[in-house]
Amino acid sequence: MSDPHDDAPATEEELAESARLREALEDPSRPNRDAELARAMSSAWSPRDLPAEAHRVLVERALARHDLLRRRRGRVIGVSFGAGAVVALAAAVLLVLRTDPRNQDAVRSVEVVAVSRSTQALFPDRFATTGGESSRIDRIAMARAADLRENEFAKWGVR
Amino acid sequence: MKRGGLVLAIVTSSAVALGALGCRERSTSGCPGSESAAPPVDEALMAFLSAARALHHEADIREQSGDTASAIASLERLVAMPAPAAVEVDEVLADARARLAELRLERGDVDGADREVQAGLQRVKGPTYFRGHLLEVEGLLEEVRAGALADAGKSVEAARAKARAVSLLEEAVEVQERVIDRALADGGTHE
Repeated sequence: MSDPHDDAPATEEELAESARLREALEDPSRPNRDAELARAMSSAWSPRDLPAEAHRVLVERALARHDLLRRRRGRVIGVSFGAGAVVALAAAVLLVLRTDPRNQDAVRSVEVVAVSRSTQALFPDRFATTGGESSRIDRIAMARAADLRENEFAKWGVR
Repeated sequence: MKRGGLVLAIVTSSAVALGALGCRERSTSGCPGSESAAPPVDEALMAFLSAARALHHEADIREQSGDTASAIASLERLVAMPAPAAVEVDEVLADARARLAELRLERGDVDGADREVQAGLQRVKGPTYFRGHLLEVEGLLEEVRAGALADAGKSVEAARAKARAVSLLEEAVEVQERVIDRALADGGTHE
């Protein structure tokens, strides 16, 4: 069954619309949604080269963005180099200080467990009025011998 | 921008370098590694303590044999030994001086005993049993001195020496009490 309107003559409005579409297809600068759709479908099916002018405009726009990014990146790199130089200098100074023989004691002290200190804590009771010196030195020597062993183990890394 | 970064780098590195130089040339307070100012327990300290122990025991044997002069000689060797700078060394030497003072006092050498006590007190300034013990020995020697002065008919000098003895013994007790208070404040912890 055929549509009774198929053979009907085109209306004036249809003719005007058809003329606008034709003109838009011939001149891409004319805005027309149907013409844009037709061009997009045509390009998808068989793409053509961009017009030389459109190509030039696109390339210039892209290069302008690239230059802007490059200038920004240059600033970022410059600042990074400055900060990096500061950090490197500080690290170098610290390295020199830590490798200075005069600072080796300070470095070693990290490894040391027991340091020199009063032996008072070894004696909970007050000293006898006379005598007792030998038993006191016994206790001191034994306590510090244990400390020395701990320090040696720490230096050897066997703690 | 580049110039600003360079200036920043120079200023910062100069500050770091100057700070580090300050740590090296002045006090170590506040500088890296200064937390542990005390020297470590090392071979030199242990060697001194071992020698001190041997000499004390040597003095014991000689004293038990009635040879006080040899016992004194052993202890004189101890106090004359080269020693590392350490708190333990000061305390051991102070104790050796106290023992020397006692031995000299036994032999009637009050002035010699006094010299030992004074030398010992120079080693231990803080409140420890070592200082308390030295003050106690000094009090005892002033008591002996007071007796000798009284025997010699010097009653005024004897009274002064007796008063000094009491004062020193009081000071000894005060030091001992401070040691006890500190130990109790620390929770009575011992090594």
